[in-house]
Formats: sequence, C-alpha cells, structure tokens
Amino acid sequence: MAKSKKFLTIAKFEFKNVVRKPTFWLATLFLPVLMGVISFVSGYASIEATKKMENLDGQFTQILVLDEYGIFSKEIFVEPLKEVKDYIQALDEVKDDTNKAFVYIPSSFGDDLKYDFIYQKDESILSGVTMVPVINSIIKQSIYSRIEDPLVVSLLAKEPSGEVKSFDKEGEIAVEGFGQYILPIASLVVFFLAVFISSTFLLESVSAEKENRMIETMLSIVDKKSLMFGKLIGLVGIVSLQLLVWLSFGILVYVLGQQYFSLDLPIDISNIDYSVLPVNIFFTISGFIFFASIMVGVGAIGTGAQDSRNLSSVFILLAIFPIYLMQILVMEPSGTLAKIFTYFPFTSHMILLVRNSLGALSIGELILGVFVTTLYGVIALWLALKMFELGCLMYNRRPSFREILGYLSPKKY
Amino acid sequence: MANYSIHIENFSKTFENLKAVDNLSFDVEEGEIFAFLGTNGSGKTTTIRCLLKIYQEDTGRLLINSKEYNDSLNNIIGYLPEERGLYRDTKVIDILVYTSELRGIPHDRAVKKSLEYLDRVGLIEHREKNIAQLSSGMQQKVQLGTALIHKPEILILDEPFKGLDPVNRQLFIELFIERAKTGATILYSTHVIDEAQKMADRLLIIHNGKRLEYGSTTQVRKKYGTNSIFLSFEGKRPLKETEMYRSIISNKTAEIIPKENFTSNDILESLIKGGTKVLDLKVDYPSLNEIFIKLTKDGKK
Repeated sequence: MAKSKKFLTIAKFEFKNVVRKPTFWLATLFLPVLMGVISFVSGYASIEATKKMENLDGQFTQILVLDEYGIFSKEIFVEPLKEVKDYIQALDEVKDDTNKAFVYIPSSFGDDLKYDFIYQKDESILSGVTMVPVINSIIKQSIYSRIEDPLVVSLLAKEPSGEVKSFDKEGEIAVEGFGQYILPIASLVVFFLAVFISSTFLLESVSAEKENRMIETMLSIVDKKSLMFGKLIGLVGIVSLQLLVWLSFGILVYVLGQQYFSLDLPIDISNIDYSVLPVNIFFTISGFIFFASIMVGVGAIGTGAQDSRNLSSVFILLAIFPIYLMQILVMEPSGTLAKIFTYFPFTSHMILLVRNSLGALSIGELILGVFVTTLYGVIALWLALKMFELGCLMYNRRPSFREILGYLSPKKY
Repeated sequence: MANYSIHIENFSKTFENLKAVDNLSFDVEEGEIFAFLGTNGSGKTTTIRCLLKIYQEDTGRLLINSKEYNDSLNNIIGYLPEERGLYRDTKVIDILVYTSELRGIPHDRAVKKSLEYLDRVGLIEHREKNIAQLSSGMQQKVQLGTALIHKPEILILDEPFKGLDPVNRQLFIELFIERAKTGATILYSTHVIDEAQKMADRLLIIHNGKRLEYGSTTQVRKKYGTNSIFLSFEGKRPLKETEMYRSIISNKTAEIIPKENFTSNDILESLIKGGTKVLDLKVDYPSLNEIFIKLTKDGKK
C-alpha cells in the first residue's frame, strides 16, 4: 500500500475517531453557545438596565428635593421633582411611601460634590444606584441652563468626535475604521485555535497511543513517519471542521441578528486589506506545524496523557507570551522589541502575523520571517520525529536528557 | 537447502550500557512453527522489534523473506506485540477494519474479514462495543485479530499466551495451528515451555542475549538424555529432590530426572516403597521445561 494512502487512512481514522465522540461536539458547540449566551445575557441585561433607568423617574411619583446649596434652578422643579424645605418632614414622607424619593443637597456640596438620595427600598436592587445618574443629569442640566454660550454647553454635554483618516497603500486618503482590525484579529483567533486546540488534540492523540500500548501494533503496520504525519493531517481536518462550525455559527448569529434585532455592526469590509491574507495563512500554517510538532514530541516522551499535558504547559506558556507584548506590538509594530521577538522560535509566528496584518513588515523582514518560520517548522518536525522514535516505546518512563541527546546523535536506538 | 522465512545473522543490540542481544544467529524455515524461548529480559522482544525495524540493530543482518523489513512486507506479516493495547474508545469492528485497511485491504473486504474473524473467536455480538467495554481476554482476541485478519504468510507473536485463561489459550493455539496448516511460518516467543513442546517444530533458547540451544524440538530433547520418567501418580507425592533424582511436579503428574548412577528401576522402586502409587509411566527424553530450567540456571552461573 502506498505511503500516501496510509497517511490518508490514518488521517481519516483520526478524524472519524475524534468527530464521532460526543465530547468533541460538546466542546465545539459549547464554546460559541457559551459565548453567545454570555453576549445575550450581557446585552439583555444592559438593555433592561437602560430601560429601567429610563423609567426610573416614572417609578417615583414624587422626588422631594432639599437644595441647601442652591444648585437647582427654579425651572427644573417640574413633576416629579418637588422642592421642600424641611429635612425631617421629607424623610417622614419618603419613609411612609415607596413611591416617593428624597434628594438632599447639603450646603457643603460645593466642597465635595456629594449629595444624598434617600428612598424606601422595595424588591428592586437597582433603583437607588441607578437613580444617581438621573439626578446627576438633572444637576448638570441645571448648570448648563446658566451658561449662555451654546458651544460651551455642547462641549460639556458630549465629547467632540474625530474621524481618523490616513494615506493607504495607493496614496489615497481613507477613513480608518474597525474593518482594518478584522483581519489581524481573525488571523490571531485562527492561530490560537490552531495552536491550542489542534495541537492539544495531537498531544492527546500521541500520548493516548502510547498509554493504550497500541503504538507497537501500529508500528508493525506503518512506519513512524506515516503514523505521525497521518495524525497531523487528520487533526488539521478536525481543526478545519471546528473553524467551519464556528464561522457558520458566527454568520448565522449575524444574519439572525440583522433580521430580527436590526443588529448593524460598524464594519466597513472595504477597509480590509486582503493582500496580507496569503502571508498570514502561511504564518498560521507554519505556526501550526511548529507547535503541533512540539506537541507530538512532548506526547511521545511523556509517560501518559497527564504527564504529557504537564510537560506541554511550558510550551503553551511560551506560545502565548506574545499576548503580553500585544500592546507594545500594536503601538510600535516596528519597534526593537517587536523586531527581536520576530525571530525567536516560540514567538515568531504570532508576531509576524500581527506585524504583517498591521503592514509593519518590510519586504526584507517578510522574506526573513518566511525563511525562519520555515526553518523552525522543519527543525521542530525533525525533533518531533526523533522524540517520537525514541519515546514511543518507552512505557512508564520518560527518556532522560542524556538519552535524548544521545539519540539526536547519528547512532540510533 | 531449506527456504528461510526469517534469517538472523550475527545480530547484536546494546541499550546504553546493557548488551540486550549478543551476536545472535538463527533461521526460521518456511512453514514451520518456531519457538523462541527465554526468560524475561533475555532479549526476545528486542530481537523481534529489531527484526521489524521498530528498533535499529547495532550490527548483524535481520531478514524476512531475504529482505530487510520494509513496508512491502506489511501485507504478509502479522505481529502480536508483547505490550498489548488497543484504542480504548474505539469500536471493536473499527479497529479491525482500520488495521486491515492499513494493510491495503479494501474497505468492504476488510469489513467482511473482520466480521468473519469476530465470528470465529466468538466476539461477533460485541462488534459495536468500544474496546474499553471488553474483558481483558476479549481484548486479546481483538488484538490477535489485527495480526491474523489478513491471513499473513509470516506470523510473529511475542508472548502470545501472556495473561490468557486455559480456554482462550487453547483457542489461540487452534488459530495458530490453522494458520500453520495453510503453510504460514510462525515465530513465537514464550516462556510457557509446555506449549512450545507441543506446538513447535524447532526452537531457540536465549539467555542474557546469547544463544543457548537451537534445533528441532526432538533434537534438543534428545541431546539432554533419554531417561526422564513421566508418571501419573496417587498417594504420596515424589519429593522435589533426593540423592537419586530431581522432579518437576504438576498436580498428579511428575517428571522425574534421575541423577548420575541411578537407573529408572532404582527410582521407581524407591518411590513405590515411599508410598507413591504409580498409575502410568513413560520413559522419554527430558521435557523442554527441564532443559530450559537447566540451561538458564547454568547460564546464570
């Protein structure tokens, strides 16, 4: 049987074996559903809170105001606001009636800007807290009414807004929008999924093969390279399926959101620079090969699934390290730090991806980046194969550092 | 000159400072059942793994059908490793079909052969179960299936009887003999010597990586004398060792190995006098078991 066909048979088996498990679908569907539920709950809560705030003044039939400082102008006192003079009497009124609230502005307001909002608590937890912005707004309106210049009122009432424009690659002035960040963000998301999910699948798959003791039977039928690459291809299929499911889910949510909730995302897709896409795909694939190879090696030298997971955490930490640099990267994508970590094996793929998406790579850097990531991928694959050869038949123990070094020398086990 | 299915010549293998196999040579003839005997750690598994290129040999030649092991031999070889194991969360039928397909058998035929095999070993009703749901004996039958299903010309079995109950052991023997009858060559390693004596045409005894004995089962037994007494008894059990003999006792049967200057008659007379009631007896070559124990003890010395 041709080696390529064996690859595919192994890839198909690995793919089917994972995809037929309920846990795979639980993980695949759970993540977007969880994110959807969180977004829905958060959005719903926000809308409800806003509605409630809007209706709060309607909740109280009367808001008594004792303004010792004199911040409120007379015109403000319209229903439900009512000016009072006696503090104790106002308290008594509010105490006996849940429909009434009392705002007390002390004479010291000018020093510390503090006032009291007093009301008879019912089952609503939000009422008191959310009334504060309403009262603040009334106070501000009262102040604005004293200013004659409408521009000053306007500036105090809301922030000026600026539209950011820049010269694009064709030398034209273009408005910058959220659209230009879509590609870097999407590339990073795909990269993360590839690194964390697929390579974790691979780690589990290799270590389970060893833990189950199936490996020797397999090695009597296929050679080590075919087995390793077959697994790799199968897991590329699994990640692709997951991405497809998530993408479909995202599109579905977007379409439903537009249709039923008039959801309109502020994205101008004409701003997306698709020219960086092929290079981003390359860096994602080379990053996947690099980290997947590491996981194969780690899976092969660990004593079992748990041991391999523990060992892999070091590499996972190194893989996510660029996240900590992200702020500097975005601010200075061609800065010294960005340039240094562009060529460090564990960070190069992600940093190159971000820098390329932001258009911060010169042609020379791009070529060098493609070269080093290819080189790292080849070295990682070679090391993975060696570790796989060395560790796959070492049951219940890890190879020592000396054994690993010994095995990397020309003399083989 | 005989046709050799397996030819091993001057093979040595060292792990770090441990010489696992030392200049080992032997042949397995086409169509024979060959027993590869040795204690634990004697080098049997290392030899088999090097033969199948799972490990790389240091020196020597290990040939299957006159070739070094390569992918083209996959379809004619069936291998049962000593370290047993299957994907625990995979269905019985899927494992068999998968390994068959890897050997180049088209899917439909692989399914048919897998079902036939499961029927033969009494697992047809369990075909849709996951491996983890099967008993250890059942799992061993499935594992053997991965080595047998493509009806290999050469079967390499590393400790095939390990952990089997007598019923499954008998089933495995039947399956091996069925394959042998079709002309398949069988090389199996074991330290269950009784089975080797019954099944094997020829044998090799290895100890600390070195060859101690090699030849046909009868030849080897002949070489160690003709005066072992095999007897069935009742009453008093023969002693394990006296000045006249040593014995290997199993339930109500015993192999009595006379010491120098004592004849079978002397020993029988002594046993009967001592209260052993002899029901049946046969004087024969010493058993492989006895030879194996003697050789490995001497080897240790």
